[in-house]
Amino acid sequence: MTAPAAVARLSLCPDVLFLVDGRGDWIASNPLARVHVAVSASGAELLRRLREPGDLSAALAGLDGLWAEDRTVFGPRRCALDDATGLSAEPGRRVQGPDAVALLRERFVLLEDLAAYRERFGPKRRPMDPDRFGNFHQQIGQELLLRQRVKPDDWWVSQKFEDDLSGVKNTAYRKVQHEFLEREVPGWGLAGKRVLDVGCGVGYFTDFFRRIGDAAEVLGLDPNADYIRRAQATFRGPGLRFEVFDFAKPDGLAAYRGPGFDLIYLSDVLLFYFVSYKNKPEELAGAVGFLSALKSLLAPGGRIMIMDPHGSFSLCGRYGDPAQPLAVLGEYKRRVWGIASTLEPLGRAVRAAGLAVTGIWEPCYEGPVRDAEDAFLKEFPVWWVFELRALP
Amino acid sequence: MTMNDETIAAAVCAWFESRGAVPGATPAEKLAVDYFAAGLLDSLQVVELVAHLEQTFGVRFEDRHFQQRRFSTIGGLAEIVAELKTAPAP
Repeated sequence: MTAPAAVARLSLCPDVLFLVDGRGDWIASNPLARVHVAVSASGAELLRRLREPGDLSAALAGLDGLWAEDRTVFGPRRCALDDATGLSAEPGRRVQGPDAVALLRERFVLLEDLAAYRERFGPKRRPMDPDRFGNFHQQIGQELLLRQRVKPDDWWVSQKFEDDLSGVKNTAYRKVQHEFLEREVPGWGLAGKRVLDVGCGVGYFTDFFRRIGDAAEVLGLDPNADYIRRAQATFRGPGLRFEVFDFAKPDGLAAYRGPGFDLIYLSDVLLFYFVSYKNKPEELAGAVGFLSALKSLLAPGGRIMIMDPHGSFSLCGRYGDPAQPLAVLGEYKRRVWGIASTLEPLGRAVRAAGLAVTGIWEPCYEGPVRDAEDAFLKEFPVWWVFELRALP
Repeated sequence: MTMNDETIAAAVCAWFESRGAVPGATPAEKLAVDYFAAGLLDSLQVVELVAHLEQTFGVRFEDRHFQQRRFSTIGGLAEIVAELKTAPAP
């Protein structure tokens, strides 16, 4: 077999893992790029020979029957989260010889330039940035807007709640987030108290604090006017209010000073001060200002509860086998998915805002295991929860 | 470029100009403008642009087009539209 003339030296990507599928095929899997390519025995031998950078022609010497087959789509549906290359996956497409080498290069199994490969994993610096894959939020935004052609704000609500907002869909949101609150909120001593739900969305949990926590007054704030209209139309009751609030102007929170709130709750909100979102840079200073403004709204003895995605969380970090829940590939210091903050910057912001962490929870699913997702959620906390109180 | 391609390029450029000034003294300079780098569009407005072009020219962008570097320039976008218009039906 002859190598394409333009390619001289290639090497096996150091991120690639090898698995064997149910048919006995070798799967070269790059979890960072979320791509998976089945190869023939000679393909596996080629990759073995290229563990160190080497000449492709030499590595191909004596190899017959080389084929590669794209297996990138393992998930139930095809989306950008399954495939960070953003290329059109064609599962089952089996290619031979030089085309197999081309597929392995396209899918980041074989690399020409390791430094260039590393450079591709970073936040997009502008919309549609062709040089960087972008973090989770940017990828899913592009996926929703351009491939699925749906508004991210509509998608956010529809994937979390039942259409009539009567409950939380039976996903991680129900199994972890909702069940945690059902267990804990009755013990939070909210009866007769004032609660502020910051980033309340369509108001389900705002109402939850009134209904389950028996709070006397609950105010939900969100920047999305459509969400607030829907909340106002769906959830009504004594002491329950919803208002549009522009988070870009946290000084405006001063308007809500008064007797103070006994609980300020934020769910999946604070992370956006720590990760690039809509191509904006990370804003640690913004997080400090935001938390400081919230602190000024606390009643004496009040607390802030923050539920955010876990810092080591990886949406695509499992391979679907309930018997192998430890086959999880997360991340921490070197952020590629960039879903949420790690602990250290979060702690710096909390301290700088004059607050202290007085409690930490890592809720997991506690029900029976019926599928791979249950097994994953039972073993690994997808969210973490922080209780903050004002430093004296 | 054929006359048809020029018409497409002019229409794409006109869409951008309807939303504000496009940098460049000549048509060629305008076509070379990277509209993201120039701050002419944000990510949500891209959706409006895509919908407008698909409706106007009766084409459908595919995933691969969004990954192409030329998608970010007015001229490159016009090229993609022209190719889609002449491509045989799948």
